[in-house]
Amino acid sequence: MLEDVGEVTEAIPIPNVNENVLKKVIEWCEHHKGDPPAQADDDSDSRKKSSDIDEWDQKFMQVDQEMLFEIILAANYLDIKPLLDVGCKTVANMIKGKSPEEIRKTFNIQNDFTPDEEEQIRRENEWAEDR
Amino acid sequence: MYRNPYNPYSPPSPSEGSALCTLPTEISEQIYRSLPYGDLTRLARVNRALYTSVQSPLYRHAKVTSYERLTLFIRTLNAVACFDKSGEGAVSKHVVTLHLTIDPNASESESPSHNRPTAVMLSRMIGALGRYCPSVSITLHISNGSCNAQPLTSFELETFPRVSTLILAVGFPSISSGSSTSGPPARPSFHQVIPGRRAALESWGRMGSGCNPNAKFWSGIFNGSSFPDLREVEILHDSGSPASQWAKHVEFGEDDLKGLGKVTRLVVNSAPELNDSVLMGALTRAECLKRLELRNIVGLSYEALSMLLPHALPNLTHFTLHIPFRHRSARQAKDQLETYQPLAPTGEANPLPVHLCPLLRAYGRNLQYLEVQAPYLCRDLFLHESEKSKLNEEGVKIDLGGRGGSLCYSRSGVPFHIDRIALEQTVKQVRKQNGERAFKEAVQLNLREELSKNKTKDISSAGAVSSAEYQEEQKKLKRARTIKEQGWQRTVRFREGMCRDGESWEEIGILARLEEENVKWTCINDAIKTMGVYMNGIGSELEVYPDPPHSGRAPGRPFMAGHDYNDDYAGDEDEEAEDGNDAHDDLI
Repeated sequence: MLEDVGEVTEAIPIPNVNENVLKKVIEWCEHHKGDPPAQADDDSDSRKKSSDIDEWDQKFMQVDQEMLFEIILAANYLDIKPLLDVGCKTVANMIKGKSPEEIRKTFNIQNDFTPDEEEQIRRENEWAEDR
Repeated sequence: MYRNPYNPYSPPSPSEGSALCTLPTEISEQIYRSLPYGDLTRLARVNRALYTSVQSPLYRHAKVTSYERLTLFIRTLNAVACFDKSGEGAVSKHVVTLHLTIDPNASESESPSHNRPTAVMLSRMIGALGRYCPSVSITLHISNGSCNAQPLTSFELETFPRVSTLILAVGFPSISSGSSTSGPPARPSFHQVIPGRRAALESWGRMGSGCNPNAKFWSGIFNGSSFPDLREVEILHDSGSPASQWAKHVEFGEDDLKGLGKVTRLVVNSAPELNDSVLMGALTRAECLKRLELRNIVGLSYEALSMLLPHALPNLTHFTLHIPFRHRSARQAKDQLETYQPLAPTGEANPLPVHLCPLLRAYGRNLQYLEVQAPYLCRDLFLHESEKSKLNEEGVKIDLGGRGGSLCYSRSGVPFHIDRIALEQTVKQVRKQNGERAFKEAVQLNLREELSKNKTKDISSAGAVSSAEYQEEQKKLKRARTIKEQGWQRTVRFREGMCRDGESWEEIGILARLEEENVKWTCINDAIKTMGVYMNGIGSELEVYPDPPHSGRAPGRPFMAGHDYNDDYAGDEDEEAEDGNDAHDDLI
C-alpha cells in the first residue's frame, strides 16, 4: 500500500478498516515483526494444510465471527499476506469435517435448497466425495 | 431431469448476507485451497451462493482419483451438458485441467461391479471429457499398472485426445487396493491372490520376463495418433531388465515415434523397455525435448550414452542422468580408461575410450539444470584437455588421491595436499587465454555474418570490429544475466569413486570453485561420504551419509521387494534364472 501511495507526509486514510480491527491487525504485526519473509507459495501443489497455524495465531484468531472476517478483509485490503493466510486457514478449519447442516449452523446460513436440489448436488459432486 | 441448482433469477435468500457467502472471490478461493474435495462437496450443499463459489475450486483444476470416480465425473458433465442444451441458462463445468489417476488393480476391489479399466473404455471416457470440455488439458496417471496388461497393451489401438501429460507408474501387478506408490509393497502370498491374477503374479516371479525392450510399448505412447496432444511423459518402472535383454535389437517403423517430435519433457525410470537400440532409434526424433531424465536404466550402455550426450545436451535445458550403482558398462569404461594407451603395439592409434565426463562438460554448458549420478566421475567434468596439458607442463601434481578420491598420507601420517594456488592459477591462466581466443573467433564470425548480410563492406574497419566486439560482449552479458536469473545448478554424485585411480576429491572441490559465475555446483562422493556446495569461488564441505547404494530407484517410487539390483548387472543368464526361481519360491 505504501508503495502504491508513494512518499507522503500526511496521514493515510484507511476507510475500509475500523479502529478495533486495526488494533488487532497492529497487534498481529507487532508479534510477527521479526518473522522471516514467507516463501513463495506453489499453488499447483497439493492442497495446503489448514492445520498448521501456530499456537499464538490460533489464540489470536479466537474472536467472534464478525471480527474474524473483518480481520481477513483488512489483511486483504492492507496486503498482509501472512495474516490473510492465517485467517483463511482458521475459516477452513471451521468448515473442515462438518456436514452441510453443521456448516449452516456455524456460519448462520439459511438453506435455500429444496431437499431434491440438495440431493441432486450430492450426486453431481459424488466423484469428489470422501470414501 | 437435471435442474440447475443455482438459478440466477431466484430472489437472494437472507443467508446470502452471511460473511462467508459474501467474501471476495480471491479470499474465498484461498479458503477453499486449504480444504479437501470432500469438504468442498459438502460446502456446495450449504446454499446457492456457496454452491456457485465452489464450482471453480472443484472443477477448474479437477483431480479424479479412480476409474469409478471418472465414471461419476463424466455422469456429471453429461448431466450438465444435457441441461445446457435445454436452454435454461445453466453454467457448464469449466474444467481447465484434469488430473486423472487410474489404478488398474484397485478399481476391481473398489467396486466389484466394475471391470478392469481397459484402453478402449478409458479412450471412450477421455473422448467424452474432450467433448464436454474442449479446452481441457488432461494428465493421465496410470498408477500401479503393468506393462503387459490393460490398459497399456492396447494404447496403440485407441485414441486419448487432450492428454498432454502421461505418467505410467508400472511394473508388477499389485493386489493391494490402495495406492502403493509410497514405500515398498509387501510381497503377496498365493493364499491372498485371487485365481485370475495368479498368472500375472507368476510372471512377476520371473522378474522382468514381461517387460522387454520392444517397439510396441513405445509406439503405443509415441505414435502421435494414440496421444495426439502429448507433451510430457513419465515412465516410472519398478525394476530393471534382465541382462539377457540388454542387447535385444528393436526396430522402429517410420510412424512409430511420430509423436515424440512434440514431447518437451521425458522421464524414464528403471524401464526395462529402454535399451541401446531403443535409444538410438528415438535419438533423432525428439526435436522439441527440453527436459530429459534417465534414471537407473540398466539396459543403457556407456557407448549409447556417449552418443546421446552430444546430440541431446545442446538442445536441452534440464538433464538428469542416474546410472545405477555397479553398472557393468561403467566398470568397463573405467577399466578402459585406466588401461588406455594412445598407440597400439603396431603403432596405430587406439580409439579413445568411452568417457562421459568430458562430454557432459563440453555439451552441457548451456544447461539450466544438470544432475548426474554415476558410479565413476572425474575432473574431466571441469577440465579441458588444454588445461590438463598445461597442468602437466607446469608440473602441478594432481594425482594425489587414495581410494574413492580420499586423501593419501605419508608414512608419518601427513596428508598429501594438492598445491591449490598453482592449480588455480594455471587453470585460470589457460581459461583466460582460451577465452580471449574464443572471443576473437566469435568476433570474426560476427564480422563474416555482417558481411554476408551486406551490412558492412569492410570487415577490417575499426567501426565494424568494435560493433562485432560489442555484439559479443552483449552475448556474454546476456548469458551472465540469464544464469543469475534462472539460478543454474549442477549436481554431480560420485557413487563409487573417481574414473581413474589416483584422482582426488580435493581437486574436484578446487575446480568446482573455479566454475562460471553464479552457477551452483553440488558435488557428492558416496565413497568417502563427503559433499560440497560451491559457487563464485566459495565452497562449503560436509560429511554425508548417503542412502544404501542398492536402492537404485527414484525417491518415493515403489521398490521391487526382494530383488537385488546387482543381479541385473551380473550378466549371467543362469544367475538371472536362479533369481527368478527364488522370487517364485518366495511367492509359494
